[in-house]
Amino acid sequence: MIKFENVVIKYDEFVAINDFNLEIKEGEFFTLLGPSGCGKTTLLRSIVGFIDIFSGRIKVNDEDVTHLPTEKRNIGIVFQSYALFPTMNVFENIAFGLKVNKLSKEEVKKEVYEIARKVDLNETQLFRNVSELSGGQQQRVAIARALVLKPKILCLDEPLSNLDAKLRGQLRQELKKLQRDFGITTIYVTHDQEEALTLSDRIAVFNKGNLEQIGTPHEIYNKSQSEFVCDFIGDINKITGSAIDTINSLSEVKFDRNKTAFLRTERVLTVCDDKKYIKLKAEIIDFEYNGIFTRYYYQMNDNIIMNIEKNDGSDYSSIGEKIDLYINPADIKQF
Amino acid sequence: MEKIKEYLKHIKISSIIIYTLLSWFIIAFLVYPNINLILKTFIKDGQVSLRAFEKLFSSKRAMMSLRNSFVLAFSMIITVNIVGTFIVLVTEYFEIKGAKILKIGFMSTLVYAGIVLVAGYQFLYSSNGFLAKVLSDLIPSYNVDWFVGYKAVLFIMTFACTSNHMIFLSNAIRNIDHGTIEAAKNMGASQFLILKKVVLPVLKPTFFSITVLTFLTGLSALSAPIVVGGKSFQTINPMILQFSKSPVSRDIGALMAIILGIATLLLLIIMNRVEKGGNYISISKVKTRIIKQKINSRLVNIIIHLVAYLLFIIYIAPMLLVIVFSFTNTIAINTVDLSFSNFSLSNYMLLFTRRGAFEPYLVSIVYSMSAAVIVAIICLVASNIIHKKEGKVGTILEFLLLIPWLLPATLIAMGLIMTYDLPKTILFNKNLVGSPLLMLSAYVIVTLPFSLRMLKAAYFGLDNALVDASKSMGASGFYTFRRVILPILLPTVLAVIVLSFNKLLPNYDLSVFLYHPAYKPLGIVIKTATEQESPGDSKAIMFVYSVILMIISTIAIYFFYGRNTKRK
Amino acid sequence: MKKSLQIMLMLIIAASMSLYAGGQTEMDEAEDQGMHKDKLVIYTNSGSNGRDQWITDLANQNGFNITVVEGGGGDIFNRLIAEKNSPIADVAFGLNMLNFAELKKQDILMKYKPDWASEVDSSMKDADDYYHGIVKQAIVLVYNPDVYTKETAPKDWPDLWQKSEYHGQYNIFGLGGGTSRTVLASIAMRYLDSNGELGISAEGWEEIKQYIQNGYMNADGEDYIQNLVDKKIPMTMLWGSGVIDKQEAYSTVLGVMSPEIGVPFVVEQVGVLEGTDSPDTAKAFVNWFGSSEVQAAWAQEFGTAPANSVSMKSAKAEAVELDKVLSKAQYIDWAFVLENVNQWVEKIELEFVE
Repeated sequence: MIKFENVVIKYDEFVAINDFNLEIKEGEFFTLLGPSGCGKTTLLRSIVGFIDIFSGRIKVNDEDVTHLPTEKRNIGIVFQSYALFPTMNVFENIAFGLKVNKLSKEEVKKEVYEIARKVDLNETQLFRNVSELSGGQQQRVAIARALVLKPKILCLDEPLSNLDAKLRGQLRQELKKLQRDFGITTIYVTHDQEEALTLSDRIAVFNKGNLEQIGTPHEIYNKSQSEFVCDFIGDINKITGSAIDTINSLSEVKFDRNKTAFLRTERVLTVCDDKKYIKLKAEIIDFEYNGIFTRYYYQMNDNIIMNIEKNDGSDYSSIGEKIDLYINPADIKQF
Repeated sequence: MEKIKEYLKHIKISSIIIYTLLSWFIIAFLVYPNINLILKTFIKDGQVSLRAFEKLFSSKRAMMSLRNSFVLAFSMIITVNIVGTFIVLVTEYFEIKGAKILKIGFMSTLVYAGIVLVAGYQFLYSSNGFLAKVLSDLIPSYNVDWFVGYKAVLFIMTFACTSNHMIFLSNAIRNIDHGTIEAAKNMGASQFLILKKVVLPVLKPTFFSITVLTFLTGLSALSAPIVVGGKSFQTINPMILQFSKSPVSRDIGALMAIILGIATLLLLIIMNRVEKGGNYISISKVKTRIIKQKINSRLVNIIIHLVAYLLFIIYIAPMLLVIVFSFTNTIAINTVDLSFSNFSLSNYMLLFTRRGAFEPYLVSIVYSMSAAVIVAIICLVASNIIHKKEGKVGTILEFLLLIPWLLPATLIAMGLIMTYDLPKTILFNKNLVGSPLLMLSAYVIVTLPFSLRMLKAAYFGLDNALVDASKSMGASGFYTFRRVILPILLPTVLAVIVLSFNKLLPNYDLSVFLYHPAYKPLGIVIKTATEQESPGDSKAIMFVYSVILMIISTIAIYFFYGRNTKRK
Repeated sequence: MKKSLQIMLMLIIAASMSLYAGGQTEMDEAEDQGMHKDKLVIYTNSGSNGRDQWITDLANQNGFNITVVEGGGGDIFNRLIAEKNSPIADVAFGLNMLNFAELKKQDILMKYKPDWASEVDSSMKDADDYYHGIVKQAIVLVYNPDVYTKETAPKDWPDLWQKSEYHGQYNIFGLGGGTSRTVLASIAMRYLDSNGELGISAEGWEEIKQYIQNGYMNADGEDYIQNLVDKKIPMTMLWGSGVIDKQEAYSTVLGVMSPEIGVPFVVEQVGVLEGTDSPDTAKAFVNWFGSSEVQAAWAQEFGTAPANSVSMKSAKAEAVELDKVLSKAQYIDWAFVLENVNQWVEKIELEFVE
């Protein structure tokens, strides 16, 4: 569906994206993930056509769109700031693109009402000024405005940042549902790994203009291919020095003591009878109560190891208590 | 080769047309006639004549006047910004009782300017004026002669030149995100600190533009120094005007004007530099509308109320006097005699019963409005390009459009006549002299720099994401401009149109050279009827004309500007 | 709002188009009105106070179709010079001899001798028949008779700066105008020196400097007659018909200085412009306009003193009276003044004016 071939993007002398290749499949929810300044937004803007690429090609459905102006690409975009037109009301904002395409008045009205219903905007809201809407409503207007044109591709540039946690969760679901209902190929830019994992079919993780890894959320999380990906996605324990020595003494698999070893927090258990697991002695030094779960901090040699315990009615442990930790050496990663 | 081909493929025909038209306009109306005039002025008998430099720099009076002009301009930057900011704050930012009435008073300079305004102030404050007559009986120590020289000129110019603040600064304040003020309050900032650190910085681009314009107004002050400057404070512009009208001294006039123009451009360059350094766009997703701030300190509140109403009286009093005395005669005006027997409608009757009395109004309204609209269109296109192309193209374009600042109106008019008195290829072999379009083009030329400056500032407040959003929905550049950019800029565009219109309406300096015999503009009628040399009740008639101009300007403001801002 | 804006725009465009189209046809097509088919454009600096309308109406009754273009004297003059290559005007009147002499020099005028030429004194017209005088204005000094009697008032211009009691008591008009320049010429005439700077002797320049620096220059818009009435500046220069006008307007009486050497006269001229599309009509108009009857009527209506000796007899009584007082004209070498006056003014403005 969308193909990047050897794409290079330069700002004067600064190379933002270097020799980038990627293929996004039809109907896919594809996320570009990375810390700010990693080049993900640059890439998104190049798809939409706001940025001229220095070399390489971008193809959509095998058609070369590298030099096609934005307005001819039929790619919708929702901005981080929403970029709603302040001089128009909600209806006019949504109808904008339809009017550009010279639809008749009745058609425009029909389409706008239909999409408004789908994104849960009622009729009174339709004729409000955009500045009178809440953040969530504004976001839905921005999405409706993009979707009403039935684009082949929808680009979303951090549309959920700046919203409160509850609204984020709610809109995230709506977004996913909308995408599934419309079956639109969606490219999503975010720096929030949780958002990326919950929404995406596939994720591309970026760092400093380089592509670190592409894969399904499961692959990215569980089979991180680089230290950066491993560290950036999810909670992780970093194990070093004498702790590695202790693990090596108990495990059949040996790890390099001069490198950092990584272990997901939820892979550290306190109760286990699996033979593959090895037992480590540790002491509880701190905990964070979180409602659903509690995060414990353990002292093990000179390392601090974290794990997560579901608050399912089992006993609480207290600081200073000595405890046995079980880990599977196969879960430990070194790069 | 491939690259070039590809590049050429993506240049749009529409933009080629726009660039061509704009370049044609600039060359045909800004560069060619003005360069032609400058060459003809400074080259005598095939040799560059530098006598103007010698004459100018060896004249004590000229140097003194030049110095005074700069003194006035720099003083005005301070006083006009202080007064202008104050009146905008009390009408838009602070909760002041009767703000609406105050606003009408402060807006009065929009309809009441130039020689008439100076006459009003002179009439009120001068040694044989209204105040002197009233106060000298009550307060024996009142100095009736204070209203002369530097302080009188600065006094008038300070209150006369706050129109730009009232329009553009008010607009800018209304666009401030109230959230930022609340945030600052929440962090414990005092009202003064909020004003200083949160509100005023956002207004910077507007301040830059207004400051440049104020500086220019100060440099080219004409009526105020002539009337109240006295021997001690004459400025350069009256000399420029006189010299540019004399065939032998034209080079000196042009040289003085160029010095003023270069000074203005220098200030502009500095301001542009500073302007580029900052970010002034609100980055909030959800802007909240500004709510007027109540002043916490009781004492400060009382003081600010008092000052606001004092300013209101200063603004409104001369205008009211002019209106009242327009119903009397010259002798009553000269002796400040308000006896009932002096009042009559005869002045008004005289002006409107004469045959053909109405045509000049129509002519001036059509000319001024057409020119104002054309200028707005040119400036919209140009500032769009300047905004998009931040590099050399934009800078060059901007400075080309500011050329009219370098020359006095008289010389611009002469340049046009001297260049287009014979058919020229660049005008498709049409003769501009003798065509009604001649005066229109001159009106357009002289109002360009002001409009450009204000529109450019408005572009700085525009969120680029809006343009991107529009394009991503398939809108062409022009459609985006028309439906997205223009509506956002509309308040500024309308303000610019109204201000240009009001400024052009009574124009004389250009019109007298360029008007078409069949269409006599208002400025000519006013000037010839009110000149001292013309017999009749010249002073009273000038007052009558100013009242009529006030009425037309007020209607224009209401029609173009007032309704629109109310709707918001 | 958008609608009304669009309507406005349409109106403006329509109005501009009609302006342009109207201008073209009105200029090109002759109207079938009166015996002279061609429409004339008349430039003048004396069209104010309804004079333009008066002359347009009278001309119409006499079969001329004219449009008057008016403006300040200097402006109309500059416009005529600037439009040299593409003249719009057919006839110009009201400018003084200085201006007309310059126009003649720049080949802007057409030679034409109207029937009434002989009725105008040769000092008030061009010897080569390019322009002829219509209205004469004596340039005088007037004073407040409550301040000065006939005996204590100055007798001639040099008294003003040579006698210290007059210092600061006399008003000088801006040097851009014809009146002030004529006074300057009157003074300069007394100090001619072909070796001096700009034709004036060093002594002459010193006198002019004293004249300027001891006088009061009224600001633009300042009411110098009121100053005179208020005894603030009790003397001012003035033109002849102004004496009559101002006495009436300010219900006051003005004393008039009548120098031994004679008074300088500014004579308003009329002439046909070279390059007119309708030379015959233009000439016919000048012939009619300058005639003794029309000039007499003009003088009656506006209190001027006609240059035409026949019409002078039927001018307003006050004008006739004044004309008797100022019967002696000072000799002024206009050709010489024309050559130098602009430089004189420049020198004075830059070096003497404070």
